[in-house]
Amino acid sequence: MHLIALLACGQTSGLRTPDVVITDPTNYRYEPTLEIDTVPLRSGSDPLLSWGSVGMDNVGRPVAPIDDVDTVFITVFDGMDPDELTEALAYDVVPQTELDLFVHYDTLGTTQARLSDFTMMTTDIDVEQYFVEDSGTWLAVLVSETALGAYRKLLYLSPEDDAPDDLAYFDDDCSSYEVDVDLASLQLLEAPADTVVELHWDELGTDGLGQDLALHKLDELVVGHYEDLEPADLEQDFFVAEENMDRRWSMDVSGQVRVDLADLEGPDAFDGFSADGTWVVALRCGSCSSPMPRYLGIVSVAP
Amino acid sequence: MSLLSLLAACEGPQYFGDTGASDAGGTIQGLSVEQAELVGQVYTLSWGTAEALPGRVQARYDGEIVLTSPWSEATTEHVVDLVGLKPNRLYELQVQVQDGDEVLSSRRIEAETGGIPSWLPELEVSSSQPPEGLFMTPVYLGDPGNEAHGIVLYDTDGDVVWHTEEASLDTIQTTVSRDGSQLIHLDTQALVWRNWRGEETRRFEHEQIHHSFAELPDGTMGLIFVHPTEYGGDYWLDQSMVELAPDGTVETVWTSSEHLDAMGIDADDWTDVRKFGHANALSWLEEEDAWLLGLSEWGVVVAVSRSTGEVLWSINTAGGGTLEFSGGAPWTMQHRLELRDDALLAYVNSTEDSQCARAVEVELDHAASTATQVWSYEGGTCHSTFALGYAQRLPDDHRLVTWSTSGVIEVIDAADEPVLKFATDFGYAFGYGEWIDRSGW
Repeated sequence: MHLIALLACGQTSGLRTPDVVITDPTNYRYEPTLEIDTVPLRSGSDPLLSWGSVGMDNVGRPVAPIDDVDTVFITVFDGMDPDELTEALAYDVVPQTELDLFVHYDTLGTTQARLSDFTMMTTDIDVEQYFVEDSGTWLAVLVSETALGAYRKLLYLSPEDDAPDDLAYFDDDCSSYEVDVDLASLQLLEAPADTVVELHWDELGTDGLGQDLALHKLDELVVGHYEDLEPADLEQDFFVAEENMDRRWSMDVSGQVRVDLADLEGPDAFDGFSADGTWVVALRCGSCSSPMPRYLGIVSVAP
Repeated sequence: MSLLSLLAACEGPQYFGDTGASDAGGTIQGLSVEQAELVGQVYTLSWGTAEALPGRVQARYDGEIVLTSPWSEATTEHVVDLVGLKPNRLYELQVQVQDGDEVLSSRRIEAETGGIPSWLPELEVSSSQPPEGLFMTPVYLGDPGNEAHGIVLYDTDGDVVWHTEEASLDTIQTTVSRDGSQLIHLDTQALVWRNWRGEETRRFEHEQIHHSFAELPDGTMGLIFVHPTEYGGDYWLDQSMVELAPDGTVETVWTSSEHLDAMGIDADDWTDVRKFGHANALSWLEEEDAWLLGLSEWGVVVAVSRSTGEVLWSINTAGGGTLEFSGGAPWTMQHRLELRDDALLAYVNSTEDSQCARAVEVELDHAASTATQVWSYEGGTCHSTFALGYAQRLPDDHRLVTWSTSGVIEVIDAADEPVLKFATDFGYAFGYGEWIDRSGW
């Protein structure tokens, strides 16, 4: 009887749909560049942070300070200077072990806060008392809870004895995140035309940065079709590549490593990859801070 | 079971109900295998035997036996929640019963485990022959915008074998109930009992519940309550140890403001008294039938008789307790205490000399009225753990140290050499992470 159950679940060969297997060579590569300004602030002060004039996030998407900034957090890293921390942030390899302090502020629609308004896990620790010269690298981050790539703007706060001011302003230029995307070197993902396939990614081991990937972090599958754009066009303006899809399907793949693409949700039922245009398959991590998909492949459709 | 119901089973947890068939020549009857709806790595197997017999379950992966539950007490109605299976794997499960000298086995049933949610951290694992067991810990995702909190059981490979997201930032401590049938954990102003299928079975709510708890053999729970107290014409935050009896009765055993002198706290010094003692670690001392309590902000450890509510002894690391502390700087923040054979293991977040956390051991000599710090371990770096932290003795003189906000769980051997280390990616912290002896399940 159990054999029947397995057949019904599509786990043995026979009547099931064809497989398309995602592997590391089919994944794209990108090189990130993150830049973050540093603002000197008077050591020992209770600095005021203001984000009311921010209109654009790190990747050029619009930000409404009142509606889109849900949380501001500040981290202190004693063992990393700003250059090291910026590099680690860009490559998503910030070591939790180096974190010395973490405080946050729920904005509730406000656009400024004193350092003393920040709490550690809702406990007021009088964090301003630690804001003194040589106390480590202080990084302030504006966060949107719903945006892909939750970190909208970043700014280093540098407590210095001879700094005159205690005001720190986030603006459109205080941080930026750029990527150099390579969609030309990857091995194409081969799929039959006009056939609904089952997609597997249990063999995927590295992300677009070439770093180890934990499969459980992948929680959204996106399949997109471009009628006219080529992969080279997507490389040029990557952060709007998803918006530019002519048709887009997606599904929640939390906890899964294979799905039937018939279950995709989109403008209409997904009935397979057509032979025209450009098809992309992306796997995202919605709980990660990076706006970049962990996997992105280009589909080669066999006629 | 019809084909239609089998097809339906593919959409949710796998269920292979009573087939009506019997196994092992009819000794094993009505075998049922059900995947937990809330925890996709847990399968519940139930079966009957005409005579009361011990039973157990074995799991195979790639043909090898990878998990065996302990033999149960002899019974005719067998139920085993199999905990310890890795996610996204196809196992073969087999029930066994012991009939005299003979071990009778059921047919093998294939069962695929579910995946785990994406909010759980990526772990970097390094391992070299750690003690076999499971690590249970609250996990806090501090990655702003994506906050989630839960309880996780890791095996020694760092794989998640159990998890629940039904938790909060206040889920500081979780432990296995003494009978092994479920886990007990804190929640916001509540103590919660949850079975291995992930279902909440009991909840005790009280607005004063704080930080830590301990279970007695009879099911009585020791709890810390925090509450305002009038003292010297002013109000300050006080803390009490209370007992929650199995029948739901709550009784206060001890209140800190009534025993300041016994802890070396100067009742006339408002700086001391007004500073919240922050009781945060509670355990039970079997031999003395006493509660062991840590008061973090005061650097105090105190043992309190359950029967009289009197202080049996105290350590004030800044001086003034009934046992004179030496061998280290006074503690300015501490968590988790474990006392065995007059050796106190503690997690110390910071001292007057250093913000670097460490696990320490303090030898108590009641005859000499001394408490001497004799061992300290900092993990080869400076872990600035600004909250929580845990230390626990393991078999063969191993120790577990959970550097909570550093996102590191570490096991060291008797020579202080790391034999296991889990390190999370950025944004995660662990709570009171506890090692669980797997052999007792």
